[in-house]
Amino acid sequence: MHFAECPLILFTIMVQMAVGAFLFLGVIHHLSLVRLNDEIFTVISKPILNVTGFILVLAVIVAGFHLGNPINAFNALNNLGTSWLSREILSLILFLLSGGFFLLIYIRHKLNRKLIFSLALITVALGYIAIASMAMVYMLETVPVWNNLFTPLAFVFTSLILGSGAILHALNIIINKKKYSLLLNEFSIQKLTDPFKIISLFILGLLFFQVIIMFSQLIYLGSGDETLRSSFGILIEKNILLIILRLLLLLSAFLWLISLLVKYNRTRDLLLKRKYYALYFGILLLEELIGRYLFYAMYFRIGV
Amino acid sequence: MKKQYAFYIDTSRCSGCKACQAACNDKHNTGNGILWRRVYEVSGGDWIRKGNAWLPQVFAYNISMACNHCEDPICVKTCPTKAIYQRKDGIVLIDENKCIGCRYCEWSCPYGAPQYDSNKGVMTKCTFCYDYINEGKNPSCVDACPMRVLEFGEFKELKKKYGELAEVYPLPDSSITKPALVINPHKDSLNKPDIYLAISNKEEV
Repeated sequence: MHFAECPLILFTIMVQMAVGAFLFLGVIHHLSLVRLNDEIFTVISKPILNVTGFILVLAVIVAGFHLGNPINAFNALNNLGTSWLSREILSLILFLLSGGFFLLIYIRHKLNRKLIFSLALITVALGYIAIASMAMVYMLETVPVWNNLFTPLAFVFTSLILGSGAILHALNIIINKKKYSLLLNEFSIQKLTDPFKIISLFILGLLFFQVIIMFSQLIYLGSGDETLRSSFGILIEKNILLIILRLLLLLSAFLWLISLLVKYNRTRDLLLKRKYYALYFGILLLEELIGRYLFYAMYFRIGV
Repeated sequence: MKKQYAFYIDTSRCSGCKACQAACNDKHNTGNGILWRRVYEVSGGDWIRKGNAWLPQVFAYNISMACNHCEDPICVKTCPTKAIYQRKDGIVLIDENKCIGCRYCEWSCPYGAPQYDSNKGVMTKCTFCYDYINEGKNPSCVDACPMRVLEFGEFKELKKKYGELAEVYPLPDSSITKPALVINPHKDSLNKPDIYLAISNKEEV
């Protein structure tokens, strides 16, 4: 892996996490997982949306560090006809514009539910179109190790795992911060902890499938043609410790969440009031960062 | 039919002297570790059973490789800026004033043709010495080869003269990018599916 690809690890992870977080914020609101009225929900969703926007802007800046000649960056949309890289950038710009517009409307006209819902839906769709284009960038015919279903799967799973993890973490921060707890009464705080169980169960499912995907990919590479076996060789020879570490992180995140869920079922404790979700999110983030590093590290092209 | 310049490589004759590589570097003043033309040394072999005896069968050959100015160039398709373009005579060039240095062409080209210049922050590649061709001269690599391994000309003519082979180990399936390339293979580069072979000078190229 080139050092030049480090910004790409951060860029892809940040964009995918932001899309996932936006999706989950909408899901917990519109499926009424948090039974709070719109006005109180706005108190918590504004800071989350602001941070999501900040992460996206940061992602775009980080992506600039990948370019050897960023002054020419405006040329990147020249080849929409055949280049998935151009298409990825366009879809990302559209996602950013739509998200920005949504935020503007949301702050100014918070009671126009229909408009906000439609805009949120468009923004989420554009976000996942950007993630799909991102996957297509890597699905090159000359790079068989990327040109398969595992690439879009990896990107979508990153988005879902980090998106839901980030929302859990954000709810936890909001509940424990004085600045917000003054605005939210005890009843609202209790309601805010409602989605804990459903989000946790969802993350559990994702982590389980992530482990299955990880093993399936290793089997796919190890039993494939010469190029795939070369990538498998690179992974095993140079990165076996990282693969094991990733697996351990997945396992610890899985067991930790199970223990929390068992406790929740037994005591109905407001678990989101506890302060260890930052560490939990940190584990998920590290696991995904390692996963993305391995994604770039296994690059192997056909030919010379 | 459109014009398409192509290279002919006689791998059966190549001694691996790298005069083509040096001439290319010299002509284009590439420097900075950039090799628009590279000579890959392929070696392989195995123990072959003959009656009651096991005999060693080892071999080595060289392939001189630059941009093949493909008929269906993947670098032109993937480049987001259209900095890489194909002229009417088939020559694939990079407009350094448009390039953003994203290195996506480097990821995708199976011949390792686009090379990154870290001083300029842009991609560079073989130009087929189009300035020499305009003057009626040969590309510098072609003229530098003491073994007369390299030749250039119209793809149609070269195919008529030398056949249509465009892939031997370690080159990829030619149907992917349709390289403007004709190869006269070294005898050991064909029909050895079970014998181990590999590029032995990877650190050099």
